[in-house]
Amino acid sequence: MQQTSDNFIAAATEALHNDYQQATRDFLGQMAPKATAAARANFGDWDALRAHVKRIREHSLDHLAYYLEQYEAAAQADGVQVHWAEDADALNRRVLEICREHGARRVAKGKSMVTEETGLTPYLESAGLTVTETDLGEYIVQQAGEPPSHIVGPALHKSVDEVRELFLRKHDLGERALDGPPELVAEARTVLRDTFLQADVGIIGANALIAESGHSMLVTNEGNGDLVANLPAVRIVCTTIDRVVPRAEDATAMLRLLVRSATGQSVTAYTSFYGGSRREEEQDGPTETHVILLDNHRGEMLEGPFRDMLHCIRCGNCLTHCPIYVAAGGHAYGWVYPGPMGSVLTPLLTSLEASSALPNACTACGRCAEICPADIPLPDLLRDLREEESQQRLNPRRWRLGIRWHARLLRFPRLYHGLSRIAIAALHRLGRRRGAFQSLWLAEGWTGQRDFPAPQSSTTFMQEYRQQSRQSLHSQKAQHDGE
Amino acid sequence: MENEARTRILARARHGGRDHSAQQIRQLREGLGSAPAPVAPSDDLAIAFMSRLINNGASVACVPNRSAAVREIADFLYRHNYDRRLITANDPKMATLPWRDGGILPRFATVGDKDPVAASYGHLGIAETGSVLLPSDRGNPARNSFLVRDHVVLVDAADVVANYEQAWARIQANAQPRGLPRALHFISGPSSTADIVGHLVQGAHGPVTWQCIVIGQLPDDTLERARELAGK
Amino acid sequence: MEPRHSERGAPSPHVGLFVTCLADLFRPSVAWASLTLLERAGCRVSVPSAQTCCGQPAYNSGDKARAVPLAKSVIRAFEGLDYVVAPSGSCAGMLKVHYPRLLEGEWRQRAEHLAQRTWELSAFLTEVTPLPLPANRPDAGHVAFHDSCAGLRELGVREQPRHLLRQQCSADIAELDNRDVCCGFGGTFCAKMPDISTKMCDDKLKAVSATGAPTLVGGDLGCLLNLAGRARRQGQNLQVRHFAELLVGDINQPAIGESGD
Repeated sequence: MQQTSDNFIAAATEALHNDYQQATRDFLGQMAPKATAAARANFGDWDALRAHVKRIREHSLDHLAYYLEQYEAAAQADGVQVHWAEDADALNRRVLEICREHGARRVAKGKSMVTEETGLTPYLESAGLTVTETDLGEYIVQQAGEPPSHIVGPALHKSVDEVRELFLRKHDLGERALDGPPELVAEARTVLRDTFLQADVGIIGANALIAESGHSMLVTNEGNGDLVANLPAVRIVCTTIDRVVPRAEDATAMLRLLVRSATGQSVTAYTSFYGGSRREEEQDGPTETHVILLDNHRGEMLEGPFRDMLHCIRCGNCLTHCPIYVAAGGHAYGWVYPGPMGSVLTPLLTSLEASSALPNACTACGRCAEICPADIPLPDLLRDLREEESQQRLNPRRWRLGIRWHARLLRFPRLYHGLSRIAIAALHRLGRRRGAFQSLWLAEGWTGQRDFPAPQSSTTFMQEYRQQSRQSLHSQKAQHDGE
Repeated sequence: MENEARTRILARARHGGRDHSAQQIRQLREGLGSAPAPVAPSDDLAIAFMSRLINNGASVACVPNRSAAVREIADFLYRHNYDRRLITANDPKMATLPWRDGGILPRFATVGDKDPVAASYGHLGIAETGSVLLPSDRGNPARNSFLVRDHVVLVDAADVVANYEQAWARIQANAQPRGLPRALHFISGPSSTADIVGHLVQGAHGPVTWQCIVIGQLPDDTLERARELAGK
Repeated sequence: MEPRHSERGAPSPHVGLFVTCLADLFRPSVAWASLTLLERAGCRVSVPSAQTCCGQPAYNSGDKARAVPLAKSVIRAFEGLDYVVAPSGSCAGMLKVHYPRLLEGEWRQRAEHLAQRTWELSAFLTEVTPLPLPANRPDAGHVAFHDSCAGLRELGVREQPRHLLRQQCSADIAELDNRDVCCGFGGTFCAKMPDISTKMCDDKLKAVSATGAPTLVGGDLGCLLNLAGRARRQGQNLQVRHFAELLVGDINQPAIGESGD
């Protein structure tokens, strides 16, 4: 998809002016943290679970090649065709080849962030295939021609009226009221039924890969993913290499973190484990199954300072906990992954040049890291990205030089204290009457929307302290002399 | 070319990882132990299981024996305005149910595109989450679980285990020589979505109603206590 | 100067006050109040003159190379003191959490030694040298409290300032809705992304306004300058002060951003 991350600031401002969507995001930012906090509290020893899964994932990444080969062998033994793709394009090409081998015309898709990342849907569409997203949120944004605004709830930015208008326009079903979410859901259910029944190929994602058994885990509430996985004759699972864990119980341990952090549930309606094709005695299921293992920069991340990001389980909890995401909205981030996890991933999966605003979309408040079920130090990773930006000179020159000169001055305490004394005396004199400045040279970023409080005193503390120390020395001396 | 991609991907993975033998890796994994499980709402597995199911939006019934189970299914069909015909999969446990006790005419088959209701027999229940396992086999076509509007699932109280770890141990112990079933579906309630303005709607693409009938000689107040725990 | 001794005869701890650049430049009363409180708690207080700034602006802007010499000079300036106390969770967090990450080798050890001795003011006055009750308890009245993110999450500062405010000056503390959400300051963030920052700040000020408290109190001047500046621009009638000022009863002078005349 067309990346517009460099337009983050302007897009965020535009989003802030959309009152309906801002109210929706504020509501989400209020409710989601409460729901997920309750789910964590009800679990019991959440920190122990988080630590256990972190050790499992670290162990899996430490031995990634071993587990990928184990997974591949187990999946192949069950009749799965395992493919390897180094980048987005390789995955898209492979999927198209499989579709062509079967003369497929209609493709049904379950929810998959990996295929959003590779831009699979537009790729297949441009090759003449009919591709239908079947997750309700994904279906809505596909019909509206928009990207998802949230990795778990892709269409949460849309109002009931917007979805209603969209369905009335897109579905040729005559006069009808459609005046609430239940009616809209029911209509989507009816409309998408044929998609499931007629699709030639079903494409799903995976929440985990189990090395030991060759299964992939799929966690959903709607049931569309399982219909897509089971009804079409050909199933393709698109996933990435970092999803592999040693055992089935490791996947379900991760699942405990995932559902509580994603939706605040203790379980989703469906948790499925998919291996190979229909066996002889069985009456349904796909007759051919493929898994595509995508790398797309994961292998590089394994070695560098951003390895922790490979622990991400895509729950979306950092999004709704981030006041910047809540203010800016998912679309402002300009690519597939928004919020704190997106601000880390986007530069790593695309380029820092194309997304240099994102690592700056952070106050280092640490709320995301605090609740991250994968214990990823997101603010630290964003700071590391800002360091790379600074080294590559991708940040504005004015900022870079300002910071540099400020830091240089700070290395000379006497000069710094002397200069600050002069500056503070002047600022105090100018601002004393009002107590604050409405505009200030070089501080427009601040004074555009807030006053700049004037210094309290015409002297700095260090100056006052030195004067007082001197005075008390004098008075001690005077006392001494008088005795 | 794809083979080269595989080689390069694995080389990067190896480079970014640690060099251990297969045996060492197994030992290391063994050393990490098992995950902590969530606090159970009750020490009684059946109560915990049913209270979770209720929380998940499932409707739950508790019956002492197979005959009562059939009558419960008949009641379900009546409540949902169906006639006495029912599609159930070709599962040995299903085939031997006393269908006449509820006046039901079972058809052992896979549902067609328009069939609205089906019944399945779960292989085990998990109290931790209120989930029932329906693995792929001749007795459990996926269509019967996902394509219908109303789904009735039976499970024996004796088959309810505490958590995922116990479930996996049981699944692995029961595995055929060919290994695990090719697909394992843990179903915990009706399908649902909150994709439109976060408003929870029961019944998305999968079943709209999902009834679980637990079969076993349990104390009379079991279901009532589960309801209390679930706050419903 | 002879070190003072506490009643039990143990030598009084020698504390280095890390003034913080914002208190030094914009709010000396916060530094004076900190000094008074530390002395009242029985500490001998020094203010090393070689201190300037903890280096956060450079560090958080990704210019780690320029934060390193600043970190080293802070470490040098405060070596030999029993404790380092700062009236700011974010500066104390920089010293305590980030210096050891920033530095390497021998300097990392020195940074870790500094980290072990570094405290945020309210945490120090509750956990290390408890502040005795004053003879005349000032009455702080109804105040809303703002938690600063770094203090809250890096240092676990949550109850300490509340406890001190209640105990020392009978404060009636109003808790903000969404009290664990950032006020939008974030150092240079507020100037880089002013629209988003302002939205966050407005959310916080709305929560303050909902409490009906006439005063907003916090422990980090960065947040307080931001909140006071926005409140003034919006014409919101709100007195913004640092908790140290309330603890010493220093509330007659203008609040942050208020006119002195």
